[in-house]
Amino acid sequence: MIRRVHPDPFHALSETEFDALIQDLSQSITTSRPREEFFFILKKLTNSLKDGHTELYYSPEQSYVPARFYWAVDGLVVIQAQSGCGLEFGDRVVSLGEKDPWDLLDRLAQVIATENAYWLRDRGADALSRGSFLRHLGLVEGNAVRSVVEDINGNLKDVRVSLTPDPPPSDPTSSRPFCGFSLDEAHSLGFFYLDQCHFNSSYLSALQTFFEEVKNKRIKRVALDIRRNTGGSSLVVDEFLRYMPVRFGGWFVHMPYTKVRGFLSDIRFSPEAAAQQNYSQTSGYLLADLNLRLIGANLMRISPPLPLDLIFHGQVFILTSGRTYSSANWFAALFQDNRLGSILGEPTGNKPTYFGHPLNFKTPNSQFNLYISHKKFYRPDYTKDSLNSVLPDFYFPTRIEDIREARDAQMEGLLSLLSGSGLDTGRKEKTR
Amino acid sequence: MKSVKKIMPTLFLLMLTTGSVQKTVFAQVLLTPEEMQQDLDYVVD
Repeated sequence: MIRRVHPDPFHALSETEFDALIQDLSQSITTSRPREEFFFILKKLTNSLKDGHTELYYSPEQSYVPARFYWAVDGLVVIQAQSGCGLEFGDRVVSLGEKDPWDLLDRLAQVIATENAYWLRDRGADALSRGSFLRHLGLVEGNAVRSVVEDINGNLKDVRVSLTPDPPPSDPTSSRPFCGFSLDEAHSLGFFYLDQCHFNSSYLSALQTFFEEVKNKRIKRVALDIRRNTGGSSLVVDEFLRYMPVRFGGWFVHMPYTKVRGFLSDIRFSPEAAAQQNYSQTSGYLLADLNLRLIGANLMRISPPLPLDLIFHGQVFILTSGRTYSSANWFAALFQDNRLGSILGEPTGNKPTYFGHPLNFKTPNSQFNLYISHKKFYRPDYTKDSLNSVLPDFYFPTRIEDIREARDAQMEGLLSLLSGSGLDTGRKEKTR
Repeated sequence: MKSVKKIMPTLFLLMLTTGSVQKTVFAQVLLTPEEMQQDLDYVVD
């Protein structure tokens, strides 16, 4: 499927290297193997494309560590744990299975489809709760993982955490509606969060109500929080743009019809893409005219909201994290490249010029879910093509101490900027 | 004893439908080299 569907299967490995990898993998499957072992063998193949949207999923997972981790900028920390399992909220993980978490990250890079270190950290923290990944990394002894942690008081604990068939406790905030808003009149700040890119009536109505409230209360700044958003439909971006004034490439022209520089895309046609996406064409490519970006003509027309006075003319901040991915990443890139707002927080989870819009398949015998990109997207500003993330204009990373003290580092950063005291507090990025 | 034997198939089916047994059975599925090669070819081509 990769050769038939992917727009550029040999962009990371040459065709010769790709063939050599397949040869190696074929030689490693000459005896019967458990399904889980074969999963990680096949993953070497899908991960070789260095495309976060070309991915293999193992399901159902059979065992878990009864705790959830978060990979902060300065280390791995427990954010939730089943009572009595040996781990507790706020524990900093010193080692898992006698391995330093940062060294594990390098090994996780081989089995997690990723385009940058930020997504790797986010997905890596999740993988370390999963029995299949822990076994693959050689961290399970018997049915338990030995872990050395430093608790909130600085005491070291050496614990054996038993794997259980039940998933770790879920994130309590995952049950909130996928979008919502609040107003902070003291800071003249409208705060809209969007956890998933669902383009539906709930989103449309929440967004319109939000901008009505912003107008009625004469709010001067808007923050869009997409830190937990791993994507969905990019139509949510177009809808948000309707409320933005015209600012094209630095020009300052207020007109009722907004034109912004948009993404371009290549499409690879195939019988599979035609079947899943209703294309009439079953072979060949539709290549984007990249010259349009050179002359700034990659324009998309956005209809304004009604009534027109809902157009927002104040400051816009987009809050991002390493989990901001796919269509959410698109959101951040589009605002940054059109200078419609400032990006605040942590670098996003995938490249803004990237492969995406995956088709889905199932491997015939092992029954793994397989996703393969069939498009390549180009961010509006061609000069930033080589970047592997949307980099924040104001960098406020989450540290272990923030987790322990339940501090929202990005919101604190934003409020310090708004109060005029935070312009010097953007922290330097950790290099590893 | 006879009645126990009679309900054995039903009991077995009932066990298969419970989550934990299903997971255990699923986890231990062995794939033959031919099956794996077929899947590898499917992913590549």
